[in-house]
Amino acid sequence: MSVRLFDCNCRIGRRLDARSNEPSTVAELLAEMDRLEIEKALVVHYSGYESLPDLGNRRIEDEARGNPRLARVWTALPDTAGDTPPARQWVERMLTAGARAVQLFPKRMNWQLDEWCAGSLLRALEDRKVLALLPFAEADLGTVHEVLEKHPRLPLLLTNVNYRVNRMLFPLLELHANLHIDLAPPYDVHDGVEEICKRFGAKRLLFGSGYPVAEPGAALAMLAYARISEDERARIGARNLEQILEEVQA
Amino acid sequence: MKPADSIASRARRGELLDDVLVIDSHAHLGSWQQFPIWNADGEGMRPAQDALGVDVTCFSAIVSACGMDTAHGNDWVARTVKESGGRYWGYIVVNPSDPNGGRAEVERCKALGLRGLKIHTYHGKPYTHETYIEAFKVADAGGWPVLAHTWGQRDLGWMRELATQFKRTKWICAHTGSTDLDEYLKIGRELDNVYLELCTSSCARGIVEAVVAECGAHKFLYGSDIPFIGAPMQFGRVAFAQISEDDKRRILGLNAKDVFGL
Repeated sequence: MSVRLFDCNCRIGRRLDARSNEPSTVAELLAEMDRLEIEKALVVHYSGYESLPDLGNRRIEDEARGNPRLARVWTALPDTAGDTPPARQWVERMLTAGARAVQLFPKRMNWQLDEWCAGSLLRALEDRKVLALLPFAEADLGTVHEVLEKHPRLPLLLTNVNYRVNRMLFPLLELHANLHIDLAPPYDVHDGVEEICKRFGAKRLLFGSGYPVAEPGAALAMLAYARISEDERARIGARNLEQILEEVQA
Repeated sequence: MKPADSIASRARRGELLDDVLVIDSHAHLGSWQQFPIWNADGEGMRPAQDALGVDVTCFSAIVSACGMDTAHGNDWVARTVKESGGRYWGYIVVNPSDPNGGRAEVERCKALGLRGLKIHTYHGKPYTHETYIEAFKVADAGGWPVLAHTWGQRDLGWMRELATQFKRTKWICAHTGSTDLDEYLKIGRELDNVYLELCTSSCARGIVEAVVAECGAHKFLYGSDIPFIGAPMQFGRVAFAQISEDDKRRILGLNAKDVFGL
């Protein structure tokens, strides 16, 4: 039986380091989803990362809004310097537009996840239970621990986790029920899906491909061949993410 | 739209590909200091390999390949191969930083039945170091495969030099596309006795298709790096690649059958 898939980790648009033939459009993403029978995807725009968050947010709305298979992710900034609206107002605007998740790039964009810098943003997201995606390369796990402790209702998704960090990741998963990770490379851990399901439950894992940087077939095979129950596979494939997005207080 | 061939459509459902020969050309035995690795001995890896229908796994011990316990790891590999009934095939690790890790160790392990070499830049010496060269003479006399950890241009430069010098050896460049993809494609295209191996934890999109287009599917070998990393991701990169089903069969096992003489 084919597991139903809702990919939590996709990007469109142009990135600086892309190979010349790297896909960048909604049409190309949808073709890849068709090819691999991926039903839905959570999508962020590279313009928000490469150029300007607000531009990326406008572009993801322009390019993906109205497609029932694509859920839009906005790129968020703290409101500390006045170059973005007050956090609650910004979150309201995002929810009104229909987005239900944000991407955070604290290292790239020169801010800190600590409370003194990101507190108002994190509180605004937590109050509405907005899903926050944090790429592993942007994360300091000590700070992630503090964020999760101070914001226990904030669903936080660490993406593209390095396969070598389980000595730190596992205590975080043990301590914080609101922490999730995705399957996107390089979380290429031998028996990793089985181990996390056994220790923490399937609820903590989401199917994410890392498209278009990674080959989506990699995470797909990791899930399809995992030695777990069909119920666990279905949760990881789509149901966990659907539930998180349904719980957003729009 | 559904996956286009029977390998992709069955892999999409997580089915065993029991009509496909699968040989994992790059695997390990045991765990390591830098991160936890579970189920890392021969028995421990079997369930993951059985789920993918892996017929033969070619491995070296991590404590030898990325450590200083050369003979200890090589002995463990030889023992596991002997007890495996053909499921496992072993590489001898050569370590020029271990005073006892050179040609004599290769000859010792040859007497234990092993017929291939594994080399790794972890040991801090160029692959053209004299200790390696002495070991490669044994490999070349037997037409053995040599699996080399490679990470881009510098390492591929050594491989080019060695493949030109030792022409009977089957040189396998591990981690194709880890960086400098064009250099991998170039050496794979230009030298008949050089093969490219698949595994990278980043699983970058499009590498399988690029190797098939530039070098031909006959030059590419499936390898997983299990248990250092998991096997299914690398398997999926081939199973779902946009190449022909025949090419997938070559990469997953038929090429390795020839290279390893299995």
